[in-house]
Amino acid sequence: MRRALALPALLALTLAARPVAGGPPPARADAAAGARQVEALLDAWRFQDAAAALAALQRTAPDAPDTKYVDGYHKFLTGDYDGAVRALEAAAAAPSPPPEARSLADLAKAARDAVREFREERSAHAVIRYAPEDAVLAPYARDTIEAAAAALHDDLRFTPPMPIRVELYRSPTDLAAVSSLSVAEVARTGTIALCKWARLMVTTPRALAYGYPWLDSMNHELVHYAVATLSNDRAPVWLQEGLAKFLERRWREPAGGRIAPSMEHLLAKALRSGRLISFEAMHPSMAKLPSAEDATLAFAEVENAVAYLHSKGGMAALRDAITRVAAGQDAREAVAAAAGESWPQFERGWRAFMVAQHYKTFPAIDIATTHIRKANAIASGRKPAEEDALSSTLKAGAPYRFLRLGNMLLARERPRAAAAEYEKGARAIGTGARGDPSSAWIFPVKLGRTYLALGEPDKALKALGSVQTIYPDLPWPHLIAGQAHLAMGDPAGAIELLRASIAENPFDPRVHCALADAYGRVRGTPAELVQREQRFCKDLNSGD
Amino acid sequence: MREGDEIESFLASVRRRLLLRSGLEAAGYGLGALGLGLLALGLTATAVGPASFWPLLTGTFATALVLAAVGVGVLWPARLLRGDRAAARRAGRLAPRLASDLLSAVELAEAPPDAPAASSPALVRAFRRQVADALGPISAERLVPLHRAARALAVAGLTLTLLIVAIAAWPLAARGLRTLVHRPSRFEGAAVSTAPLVGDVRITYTYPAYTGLPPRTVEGSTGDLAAVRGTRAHIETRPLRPARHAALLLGETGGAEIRAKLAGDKLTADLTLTEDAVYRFWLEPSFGRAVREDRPHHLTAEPDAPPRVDIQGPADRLELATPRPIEIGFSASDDFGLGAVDLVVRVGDRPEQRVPLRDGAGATAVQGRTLWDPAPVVGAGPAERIAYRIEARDRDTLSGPKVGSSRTLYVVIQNPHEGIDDRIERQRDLLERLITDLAERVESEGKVEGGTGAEATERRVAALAAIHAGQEAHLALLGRLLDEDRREGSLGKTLRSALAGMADRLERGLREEAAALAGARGRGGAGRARLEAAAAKQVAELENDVLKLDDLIGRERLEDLASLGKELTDAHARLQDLLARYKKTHDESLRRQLAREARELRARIADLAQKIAAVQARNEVPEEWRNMPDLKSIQAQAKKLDDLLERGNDADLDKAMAQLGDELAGMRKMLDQNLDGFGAERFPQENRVVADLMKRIGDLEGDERGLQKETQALSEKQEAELQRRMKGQLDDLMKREGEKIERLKQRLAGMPTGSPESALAEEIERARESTTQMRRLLAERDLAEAKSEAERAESSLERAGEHLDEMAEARRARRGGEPDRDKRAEAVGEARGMAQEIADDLSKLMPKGSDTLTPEQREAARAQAEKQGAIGKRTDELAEEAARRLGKMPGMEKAASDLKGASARMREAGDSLRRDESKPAATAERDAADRLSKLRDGMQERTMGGGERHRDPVRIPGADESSAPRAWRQELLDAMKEKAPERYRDEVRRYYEELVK
Repeated sequence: MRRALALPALLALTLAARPVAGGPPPARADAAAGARQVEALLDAWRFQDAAAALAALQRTAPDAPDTKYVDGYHKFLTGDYDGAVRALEAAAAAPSPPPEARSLADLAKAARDAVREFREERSAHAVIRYAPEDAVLAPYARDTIEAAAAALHDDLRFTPPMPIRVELYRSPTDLAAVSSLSVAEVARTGTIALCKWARLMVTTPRALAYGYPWLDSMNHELVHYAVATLSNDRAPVWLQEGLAKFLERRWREPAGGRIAPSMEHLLAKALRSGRLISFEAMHPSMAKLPSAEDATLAFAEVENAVAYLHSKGGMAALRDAITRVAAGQDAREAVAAAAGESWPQFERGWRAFMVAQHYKTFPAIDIATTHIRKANAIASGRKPAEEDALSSTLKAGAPYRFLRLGNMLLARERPRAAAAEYEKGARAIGTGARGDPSSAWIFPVKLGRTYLALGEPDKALKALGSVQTIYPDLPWPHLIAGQAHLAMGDPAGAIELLRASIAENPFDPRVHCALADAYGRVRGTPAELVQREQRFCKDLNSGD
Repeated sequence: MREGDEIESFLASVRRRLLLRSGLEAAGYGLGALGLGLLALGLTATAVGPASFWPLLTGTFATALVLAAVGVGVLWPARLLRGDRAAARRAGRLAPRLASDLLSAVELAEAPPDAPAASSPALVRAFRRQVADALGPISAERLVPLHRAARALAVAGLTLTLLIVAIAAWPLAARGLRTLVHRPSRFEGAAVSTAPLVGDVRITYTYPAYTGLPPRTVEGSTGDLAAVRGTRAHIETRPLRPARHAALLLGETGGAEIRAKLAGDKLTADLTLTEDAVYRFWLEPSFGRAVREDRPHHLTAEPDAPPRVDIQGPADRLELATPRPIEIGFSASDDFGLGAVDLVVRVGDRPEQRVPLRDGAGATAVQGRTLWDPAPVVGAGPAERIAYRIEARDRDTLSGPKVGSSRTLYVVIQNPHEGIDDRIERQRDLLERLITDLAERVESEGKVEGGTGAEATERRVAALAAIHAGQEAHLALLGRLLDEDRREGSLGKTLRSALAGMADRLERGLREEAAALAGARGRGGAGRARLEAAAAKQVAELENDVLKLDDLIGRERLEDLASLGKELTDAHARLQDLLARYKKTHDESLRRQLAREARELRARIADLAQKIAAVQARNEVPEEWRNMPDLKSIQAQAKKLDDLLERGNDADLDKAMAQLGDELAGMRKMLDQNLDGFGAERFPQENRVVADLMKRIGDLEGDERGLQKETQALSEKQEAELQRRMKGQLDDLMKREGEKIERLKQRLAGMPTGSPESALAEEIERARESTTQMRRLLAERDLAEAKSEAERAESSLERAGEHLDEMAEARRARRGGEPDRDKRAEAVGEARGMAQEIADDLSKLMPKGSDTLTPEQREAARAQAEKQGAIGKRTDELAEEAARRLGKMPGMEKAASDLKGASARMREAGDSLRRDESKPAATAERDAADRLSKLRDGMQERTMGGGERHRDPVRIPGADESSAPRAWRQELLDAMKEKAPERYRDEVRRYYEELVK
């Protein structure tokens, strides 16, 4: 708060002390300096200070292009895209416009266009914007943000300086349009969420073939938001990503759980071969890494680094490291210091920590977890389907024929025959397809569903086997397991699994129907929860 | 009573009785005499024949007889019995005993009392009393009996009976009696002459005005007349007998007559030929009986025949998937002159519509070709059967225009989007049954798993037998589907062959299974292995068939949707074009057209929305390719456009049109991507084949274009050499030929051609166009083309000359005599000579191709010809391969023939190169490359779902194959000049513009 008052005063003094002769006209020069100050504050995520400085600047030089530029920048960061476009266009149209005005105006326009016709939902700490067809996302996003904000407050003592803006875009193309990433980068690295310009930019799980862990991803970005705010955006990428990855599941579980199997697989391979990604290579963004595999490995590494720090000093060590970085200390030194070590010691300790985890490799694990659907599939509004992202290897082979036959029979309520065809397909997976991730999970998923239809939940769980563990980012194993638990009289167990499914893909009506049923069977569940799931079950089934 | 009264009363009674008897006798005998007399006269009349005197004679005879009878029977007796004294005397004769007394009593009563010899009154009275008393017992009836009268009446009755019998039984007598009372016509009354009555007959015909025929005179006629109905004939002849009156007696009995005029030795008469008849000349001499001809002359009123009309179309029954312009050839001829020639169209059972093609304007023959677009008349129904024919009217104003009609041709437009639903529904039904069979079999396998021994085998046999029976029934359904297709041809080639293959394989499998079932029954486990093998084979077959059928259904449906999408974007492009033109011209008819097409577009969008909803609801397509556009938004945009047009808000039309275009383009892309993705995954082999062929066609095209460049370069060098060689002469030539062309142009400009629709006018117009082209080409120093144009002009003028000859011949036939000289023929002949001269000049001046090439260039031309031969050979090979590999693929059937067409042009190019004619070679090479390019585009479109959706005209086969491109354009330009109906004018114009591009 003190910093917020001091800066405008300093700005006022600076403006008053401007030389009166030479260079640009005094008013213009003063406005430019003031605008630079405001811009610096905005860049450092010091939004309250920036707002005060901007107000002062607008009083002294309201019509200066620089003032309009920073006014537009501020509006852009606070989500007033229309206002931002107007101000930035005005700034860009000036005889000598601020250099960033045009590009920022374009970004603001893209942001405005991307959220046109969006709905808005507000909670204690967040403003969530979403497309009408993605209405099912809103309550889960809201609950998650609130839970995550509480966890971050506990862990990092983070209090959002203004409502956290969350925007859920229709497609990765929209995400690319509103971010500084290119469409190619988004496609190559599978980036589907970003935190930049004081907002969480998240792609709807509808745009991905299997959905994706969208709630974890949203929380991941929220951690970035918190770290950027707490560190005055001075934390380097590796630290940012390490903290975000380490804390991304905090909204639903304690810190320090195991890393995802895909990460484990890559990290195990990298540790064996000694080909880890360097921290330098992670700059300026994980999304700039050459492949999704590299990005995943990098995330695994940095998550382990933070886990190691956490193992040394708990959340306090994390907070200490952030504070040191905010104060201007080098991130490596800050982290090492927070761990009570020197950087070389920390590095050795971190590697030993990773080795001690005894990570293992998995056959046929799907590394590219973000299977972006085709543009026409997204544009059609159709819900994600299992067949959308099956590999071409599988589709070209004989097993796929049995898969299709099974699907056709199941759709005609001939589950016994469908199961027989799926079994044939599972048996027909040859060596060529054995390493194919989709062939590893599709038949267990289909068989699980078919056994459920046959009223044999135990066989369904058995058919799923280890799929749920190896592919935690797939929604269907969770769903089928949840339905099986429900059928076996374990609604509480079912709720956890079904929520895990929602956390991947909330567009499947079956998950809401099962969840409504499960909630209804657990005594003490609020009626609103049951009603909400019933509503989604009905709406999604009817295609609304 | 007094004695006097009694005597007078008696006498009166006697008198009356006597008079009665006498009257009856007179009547009886008179009638008898009349009857006999009439019979005798009748018989005489029969012999004499009808004559005007018979009624008079008969009347006179009858009157005389009646008068005689009255005189003899009534008047004379009455006179004789006048007075009581006469009566007394007569009565006295009848009753002699009283004669004296009665007479005395009468005389005494009459004598005056003061007469000298008078008796005393009392005595007289007593005497009279006595006489009266004596008369008392005598009655007049007894005194005057009527026997004689009865006899007379009997004679009359007998005579009359005889007469009646004669009339009834003796026709001669009857005719004779009729003759007695019949006043005869001139025909009847005249004497019959077997010799001619007239000579030197000269007949002048004046034809109805509408025929346009001049009057015609026939000298030395037989008197028979023959001409078109309505013709007036003037007969002029010389009577061979002196006559006071003359007439023409019409009909076999002379029922009507035409008065003839006699002047000097000339007889003239006028008549109008309205129907076939006969006539005879009738002459009446000053003295004596009239005479008429025995043999009649014939009047023949020739009917005006209806026009003869012929039609030529692409096929008698043309089947199209979408409405496309149809080329129609027609010819009509009439004996006297044609009026309107129309195309008559009937869509389904709706009223006929007429499209005016040409006004015959009195020509006896017209012919032409037209392109008729059925699109505007086709409704939105699933299929339309359009009957079309040519109808021509003549110009008969007398009995009304007669209509001639050609045979009727048909075009059936089966909208594939409509028909496909039924077809897919049937296939889906089959698919469902096959899936059921598969499910039954697969489930049945699971049920007996682990079962062994005789009992298990029996159970298995029983289960499989039931499934087997069910599947046989489903196979019968498949058979019916194929059978229906044989009759209706509703399935495509691919589907037909796939289904037929399925039917064969399933049937074979079922036969094997039936044998295995029979073998396994009652044999425990012995036949089980064979049965299981047969059943497994059936499962495998069903699995294959289900997947195959599902693929085919999916492709059909996605193709249908993609083609609908394409149609919508095409329709939008048309709207855009209309809007642009409307904005330029502000033509209100364009605006109306715009509004109409916008409404149609909306309706089609609604159709697509309905289809998409159905596809979604029925899971016809796997979910992966069920990426459907949000048509609500598109419909809203279309409505917005419609509203703007309705409100006349022109300002926002562009924006609304652009927005709708974006939406439609997005929609089409989405539908195309569905089909593309589906095809790539489900029909990879087919797609590979098409892709491979497309690539090879692309390679051929590239090679051909490369060669064309080389040939073009050679052609330019050859042209340059030509120019160089002619440099010295070129200016002179240009000047000289330019003047000749100018003279030709002027000659043609003033040439009268009559109706602008006539064939003559067309040819003259073609010649004019060629002259214009000649001038342009000469200015461009393109002597070869200028020469070709001169030859074309010459040909056109030759044909024009032929038309003029035909016209002159027709005139001669109408008027008789020698054909009159037509100044136009001279002018055309002169112009033709000028065109020929220009062509000859250019031909003489132009060196031979080989003369304008250096030996190296000739060598290069040979090399290019070799290269062209090699490309042509590859093209032929590819055509064969395409026929083999694409022949059965829907929408690809014509690829082979298109390739052959390109190959033919390549051969022409090679031939030209061998003749050192590089310019036509370059043209043929360019055309071949263009054909390959078009084929590749078509294949690309087919793979994107746009197969068979084009609006190229359907032409008459073989009609234009030899036409050069320019000639074709000329023909189109000519066709453009033909006026289309107001409603279609805009569309027709746009259509031609597109073609000419």
